[in-house]
Amino acid sequence: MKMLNTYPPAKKQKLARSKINEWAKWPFLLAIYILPIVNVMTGLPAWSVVALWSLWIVWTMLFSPQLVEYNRISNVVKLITNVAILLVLIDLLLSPGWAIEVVALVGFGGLVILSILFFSNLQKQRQNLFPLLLFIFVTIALSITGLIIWRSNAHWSIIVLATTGGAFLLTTGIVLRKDLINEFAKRFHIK
Amino acid sequence: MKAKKVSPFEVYLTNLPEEEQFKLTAYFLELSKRIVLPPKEKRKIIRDFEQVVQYYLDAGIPVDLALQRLDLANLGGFYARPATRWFALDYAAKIYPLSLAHGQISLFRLSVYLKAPVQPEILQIALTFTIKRFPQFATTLKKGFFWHYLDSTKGHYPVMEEVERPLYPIRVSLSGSKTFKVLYFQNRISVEIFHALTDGSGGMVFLKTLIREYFRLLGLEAPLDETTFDINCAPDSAEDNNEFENAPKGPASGFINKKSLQLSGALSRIKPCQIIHFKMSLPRLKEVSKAYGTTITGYISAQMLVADKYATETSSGDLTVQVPVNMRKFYPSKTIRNFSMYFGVRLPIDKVTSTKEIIPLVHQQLVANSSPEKMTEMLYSTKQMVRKLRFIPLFIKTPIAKQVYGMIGERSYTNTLSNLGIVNFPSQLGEHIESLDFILGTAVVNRANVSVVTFKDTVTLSISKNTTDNAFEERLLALFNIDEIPLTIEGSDVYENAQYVPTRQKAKTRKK
Repeated sequence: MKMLNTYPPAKKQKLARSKINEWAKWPFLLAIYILPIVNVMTGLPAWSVVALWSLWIVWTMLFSPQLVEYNRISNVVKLITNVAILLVLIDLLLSPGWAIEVVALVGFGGLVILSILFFSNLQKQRQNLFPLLLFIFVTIALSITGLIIWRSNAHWSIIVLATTGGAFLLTTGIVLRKDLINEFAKRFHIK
Repeated sequence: MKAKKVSPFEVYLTNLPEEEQFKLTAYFLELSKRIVLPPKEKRKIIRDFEQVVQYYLDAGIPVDLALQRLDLANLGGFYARPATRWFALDYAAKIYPLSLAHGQISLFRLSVYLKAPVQPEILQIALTFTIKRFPQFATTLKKGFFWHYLDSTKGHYPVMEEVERPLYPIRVSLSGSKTFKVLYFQNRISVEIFHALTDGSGGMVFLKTLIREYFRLLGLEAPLDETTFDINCAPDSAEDNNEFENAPKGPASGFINKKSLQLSGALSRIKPCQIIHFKMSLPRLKEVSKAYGTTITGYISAQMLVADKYATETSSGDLTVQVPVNMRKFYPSKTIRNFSMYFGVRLPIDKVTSTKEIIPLVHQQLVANSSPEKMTEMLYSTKQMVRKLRFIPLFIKTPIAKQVYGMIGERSYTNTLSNLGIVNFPSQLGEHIESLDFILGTAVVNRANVSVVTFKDTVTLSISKNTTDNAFEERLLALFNIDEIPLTIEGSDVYENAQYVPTRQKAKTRKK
């Protein structure tokens, strides 16, 4: 069909993420099938769960990132949450007895990084407040739960995590005031 | 001490007479006061104004006249106020963020072809002035707990020269990502819009307002019409109405339709992989449609069904053309959000014989299925469905919606025919405009979608293709030729050289 070309000439297309993902998904799928089988056959503790969770982290962070709200705050929140779950899995399945303190310290470190990221560019980052707030609420809730459960021998790291979370929340509330309430109205709307 | 870097514009200023220098300095001081944005964004906007001033002066336009056209009242307080507004998505828009995938976003594109090359400096300022009238467009997509929403974002809205293929995916994931693009190429101005913002009618209001402002900056005043906004009026809250909420109570229709046949060409990886425009004569098209006893939409639907049959190798099943309906026809509304529903013209493939024979069937379905009652049923169903889903968290809804979208969405029709109708411009502007076009965006499984828009005596039928197989458009062209409809063909390169064969199909081919 003869036609007058009124568009920019075709350029060599960049390697699309969808194409990379298509190639990458096969080793990941293979691992999902093979790792548990090898694990069962060798009869060792459930290390394959840890390996699969690690693969999940790699997949969601590198190959299939968020399609909406892909920003530094949401990425850090996602990474810290995934790492904390990974640590808990290692503790439960492979080497018990240390995760509570370490996860609390990772959470504390995450809160510090997030506060730096948030307050260093407040004008822009206030739009990315929601994942941060969720993270703070979850850390406070988990810390309080931990303090209640291990009342007699609560580790200092849990107290630090709860205090930091509370302080961060308070600071955010003071800085943002009405905007914080508006943020909740937006994020939880059902219109 | 390090000397202050002098900008090219400052150098340009020094060559002007003192009085002009004084006026321009005062103007830019005032401009600076009106923009309260991060320094990087502010600098970009000021640079746009410097460029347009330079453009005017180089064109021999006196400073006073240039500054009159660039009156800062046109900025209003938009760039000085913090972005605090947010907009819930209308009920039709809610599906678009849910169905997002990497490299896949529901976009559509509207273009105006001018009789002279586009002046980018002028277009940039036209957009800078126009955007404040469309607060829904000055937004970024965000994720709530139950639904997505649009959050106001203020910054530099750039116009860009078109270098990529049309409908190149917009990345909406980053902080402050825009949800639309304004592009120019030779004599064409285009807007590519994420469907979550608006539908074709709303998009056309935006484009017409932008074009009016563009011409005003070039010194051509034109009166307003019903579908062009005055950029210096405050936005009317009715423009933001989610009209689905007002759907009258009544019987509800279902959404799940039978699967339809798809064209047989291999799906391209790049979507759309080619754009083709048939520019046809309106009087002749009207005459032919009338002779067949149908409307232009009826006639084109029938021709599409015949072309579909030719472009598929399957011999049993239904061919369906989905036709969107502008609900403003039935429920007058000022909204510039999505307010369209759709119906299908469905025929078993063995009944699709010739245009003449199927037109009565197509026309009958067109009349019956697009009736206000049917459309209202669908409107009400949409409202009901959204209401039922509202308390389900987004992380549960998203994966389900992705699956359901395929079932009740594209797989239930072969292709879409969207007719935007006749678009008018005031005569003062119309004489500087050559034609318009409208392109439907990225389908997932449909191989060819058709959109139509009419300006003056030219009907532009655009085909956006997701396959390199050219059977559909070649057959459509042959059918128009049989009916002696004169047309000219324009379009793009094929943006995909190698055909993409889905993995399963590849495996089968290898086995053979």
